[in-house]
Amino acid sequence: MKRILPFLFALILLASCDRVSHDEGLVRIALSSEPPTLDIMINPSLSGRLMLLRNVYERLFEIDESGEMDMVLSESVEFGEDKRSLSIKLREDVYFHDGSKMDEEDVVLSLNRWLDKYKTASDYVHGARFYSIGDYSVEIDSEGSLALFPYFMASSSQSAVIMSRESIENENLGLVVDIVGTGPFKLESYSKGEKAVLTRNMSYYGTNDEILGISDSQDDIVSRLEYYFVPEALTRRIGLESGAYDAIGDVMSYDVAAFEDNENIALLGEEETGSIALVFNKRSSLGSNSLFRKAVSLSLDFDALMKSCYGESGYVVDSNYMDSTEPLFRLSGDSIYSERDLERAKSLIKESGYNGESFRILTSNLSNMDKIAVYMKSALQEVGVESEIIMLDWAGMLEARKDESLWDIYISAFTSVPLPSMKSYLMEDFPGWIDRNDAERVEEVLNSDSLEEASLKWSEVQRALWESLPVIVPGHYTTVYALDSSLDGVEMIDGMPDFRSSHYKK
Amino acid sequence: MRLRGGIIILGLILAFSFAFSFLEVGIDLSRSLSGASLTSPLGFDDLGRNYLVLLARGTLTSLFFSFISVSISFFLGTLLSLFLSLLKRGYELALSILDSVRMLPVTVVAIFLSSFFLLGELRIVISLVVVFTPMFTRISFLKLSEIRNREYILFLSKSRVSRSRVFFCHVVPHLWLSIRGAYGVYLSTSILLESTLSYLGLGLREERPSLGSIMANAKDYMLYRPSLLIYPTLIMLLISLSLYLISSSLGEFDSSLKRPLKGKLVNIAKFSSNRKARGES
Amino acid sequence: MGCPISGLLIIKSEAIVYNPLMKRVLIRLLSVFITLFVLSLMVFLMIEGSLGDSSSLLLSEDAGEREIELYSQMRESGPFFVRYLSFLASFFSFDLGYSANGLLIAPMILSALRITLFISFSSVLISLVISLLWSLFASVRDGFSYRALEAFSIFISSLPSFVISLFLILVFSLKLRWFPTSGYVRIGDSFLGFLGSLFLPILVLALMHMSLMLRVFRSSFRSNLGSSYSLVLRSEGAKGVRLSFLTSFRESIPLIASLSADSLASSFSGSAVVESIFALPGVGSLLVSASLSRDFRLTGSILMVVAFLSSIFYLLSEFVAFLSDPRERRAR
Repeated sequence: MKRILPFLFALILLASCDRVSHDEGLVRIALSSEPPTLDIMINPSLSGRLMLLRNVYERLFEIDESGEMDMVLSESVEFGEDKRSLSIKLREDVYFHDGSKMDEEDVVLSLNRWLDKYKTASDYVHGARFYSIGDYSVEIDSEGSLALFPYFMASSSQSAVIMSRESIENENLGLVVDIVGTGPFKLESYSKGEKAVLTRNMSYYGTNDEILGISDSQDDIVSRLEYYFVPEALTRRIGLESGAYDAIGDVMSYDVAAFEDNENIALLGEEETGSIALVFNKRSSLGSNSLFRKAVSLSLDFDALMKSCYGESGYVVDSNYMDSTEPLFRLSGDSIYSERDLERAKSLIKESGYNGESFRILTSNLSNMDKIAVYMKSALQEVGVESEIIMLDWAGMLEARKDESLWDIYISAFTSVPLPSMKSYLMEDFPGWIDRNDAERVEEVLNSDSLEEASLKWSEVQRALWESLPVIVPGHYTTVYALDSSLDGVEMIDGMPDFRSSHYKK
Repeated sequence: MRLRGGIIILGLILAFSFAFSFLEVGIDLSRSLSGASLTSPLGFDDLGRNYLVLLARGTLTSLFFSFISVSISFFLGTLLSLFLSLLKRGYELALSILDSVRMLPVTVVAIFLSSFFLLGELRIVISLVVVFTPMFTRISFLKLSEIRNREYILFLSKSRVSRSRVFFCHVVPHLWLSIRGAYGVYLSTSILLESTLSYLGLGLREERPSLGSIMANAKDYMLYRPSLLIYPTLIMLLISLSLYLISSSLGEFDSSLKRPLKGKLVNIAKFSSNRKARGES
Repeated sequence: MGCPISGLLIIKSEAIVYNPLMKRVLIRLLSVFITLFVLSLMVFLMIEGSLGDSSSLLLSEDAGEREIELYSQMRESGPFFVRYLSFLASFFSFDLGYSANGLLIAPMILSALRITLFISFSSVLISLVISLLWSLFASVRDGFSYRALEAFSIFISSLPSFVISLFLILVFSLKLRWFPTSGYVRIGDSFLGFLGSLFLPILVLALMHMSLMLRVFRSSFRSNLGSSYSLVLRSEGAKGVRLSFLTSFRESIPLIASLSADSLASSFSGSAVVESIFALPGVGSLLVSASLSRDFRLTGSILMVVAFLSSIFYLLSEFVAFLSDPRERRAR
């Protein structure tokens, strides 16, 4: 008995030495959440796009910071007269991961499916749909201008990716389950609740040769991505530090400081990836009272509010609805709208006719947003407003939000979008139920022939909305990733790490 | 001796929690995660709240909700067991139904209940009651069967003494004596269960901190400020210790009774009464 | 059929029904079925009554009313009773259908079960061995080893599982680097890696089982030492641990069986927290994520499977208890 124990111990020790070495070009990434579905055309959650967008699935083109269109699956994109039609010529050398060739049929099916599932885009094109004109070309005609349509196609959260027609036909319960795309990686396996494994697509039409050429050097190119779903922040951090993971997402601000001191770990990600919005219920008695709304805004210290959720770092106080990644839609001078004035708040509350009723704050416990609610309650107490926090899990909150009799304000995070009209809380029938006038003004922004024109229109709308306060935007957040510092060539695109050119330094 | 020690510890915890809970918690982000100060000897949490006051309130809340839930379960459980014992044949069926209720994981019950927004804090009480009532019923039923077959009870019921008198003056006190140990154990179990639910985000609401939610929050800062986790852990340890001392000295709670010796024990009781009926030993 | 054969059948079946053991078994099986049936009804009601369906989670916030309606329609159709029956039927035919995001349920549950069952069985086994040995030693002494047992048991049972897990991760994974912090290595990929990745979760569960078992065994062994059987053995010269062992050996089998069944059954749902921290795709975490995402079919299927397995464990433990006690067998 006594002799067996040390042997067992040694055995177990040996087990731990069995770590995959970097020579195999493997990157293990720990994510904080798992997408509810891998169908990123329908579901806009960040975790799905992180894994599949640009890796497995691709869009026809991308638009970079300077507004230039970068072709991906298309060769050229042209507007017709009046910009009421769009004509796209596709690449002819693209193959799907299942070996079939991408042709105009696949593109038409994919894009029309995208439009079917994405109401805002479909409304923008007045219900039009793509059609093929043969010879690897597709077109769409609309009653109105399509000037801003490329932004929908290139950057919307519901991604306009190209899927093979078989995978669309094999939909199950309305969702695509055969994940077949055109990208530099293919989905090898998906184990729900555990991980998704992507491996290099060796017949990628893109710059694979250049990438593979790096193997002539000493470095090892990355050929396998394993995305793990690890909801516990501590486990992710310890995993990175102990070498179980090579990259982790959603680094907490207090871990950032520790990682900065660690030379084996590099930090990525300084772009704003979204904003927090406190959306008033314009159909409830308190939420529809504009004086009350103003009072609420004046009673909050936006810096403290953001800090309660994000900690020391990882956020910027800014009331612009759009993030810094869309500089054309940002105005300066927003700080007067984020001022805190308790005296004025108190008098506005009296003026508004508030009679002591409970101000109901709806939130979920996702990503510490419930702490914002706790802060708000205490801040509002200082100006004499009694509030009640309704905290639910995420799915429960989404459901509760639909019921206008249940809440007066809810707290949520909204990811970056290319155009202001894509912000859900600015849509008329979205919970919050923005005023018809305000909604129309926001829609009017889309009625522009260029981004510059839209930007001018938006600046007026933004100022008006800052006055009427349908929502309060206290600040924006950044998503930080931490990597093994020997992993080179990782690019951040749209706030998400891209591994296609990454390799391990020797 | 044990009993006294347990009561003293629990009493001290209750007293201190009660006393400190009246102070201001005070949310102030500027002193987030700061260390100990004169007014706040245990430091501040991430929202800048006075940790001592927070813990005091959390302790009271956890104890209060656990006490309510376990008491309700106790009451319902014993009632149910009394009802079951009146059934001559159907108790197996009834116990099977109870088993089904017991097999519902508490997380699923809690999520289901969260759909009813008006419930608020009742949600956690109901979830815990759903978990503990079947357990109490089972123990109570077993003990009840055993007690009713004790010789002097049988003697009493055959004599002129009225049934209700036998029941209330003799059976019930013995029942209480037998299962009060279980009460203590389940009380500490329920505090743990509540903390597990809080970890998964299904517990009490944020504004009413409980030990569980405080710990769930503290674990995020474990590498940065471990004291945030250590203090509530110590409190839980003390509570469990005191409850254990009290319950173990009050009655021998044998958890083999937690489950399926039911058939066996009932049959042993029957067996011994059969033997008596046949005039043996 | 000829009369003699049917006569034989009648006689045989009577023999079966009136055989006390069979009668016992049949009654237990019947109650298991009833339990499962009632559970399925409760689960189904709960799911139907729950607010929120997975459409909110799966579809984007921008999905139009029409889209959401179509989506909901794809799921439930027909009156309540029909839906319930189809739910039951699917369970019996092992075709559990698809989860809300279009994936097959059965393979998901199977692979999750593999992990959870392995962890559960291992942890119960380890805790049984350690608890029995420790309790045996502690039963004959009243001093330090008993106090230590008690203290250890109280300590562990007053800590929530996530605290124990995190503490172990800190010590073993971060400081000592002996074990991986999380993740699950398939047994096919590497046996040692498989063991290594599951060691810490098994340890946590074993500790939690032990906290209960230690006390129960110790008190049982101790009280058995006062029995007349023990007296007889003592007069024959047995002493100390050997005495305790011989006394309690037979007695404790039903106890072991029932505690094991209890621990196994509770670890299905109790492992949710442990699995979440160690990022293991087991049944517990699958159940929690399924119910949090309001995935009715998946939640219901998991609950039914877990209940079914728990019932089997309990049934087996009762069977063992019955078999091992000659008084039982003679009772009828």
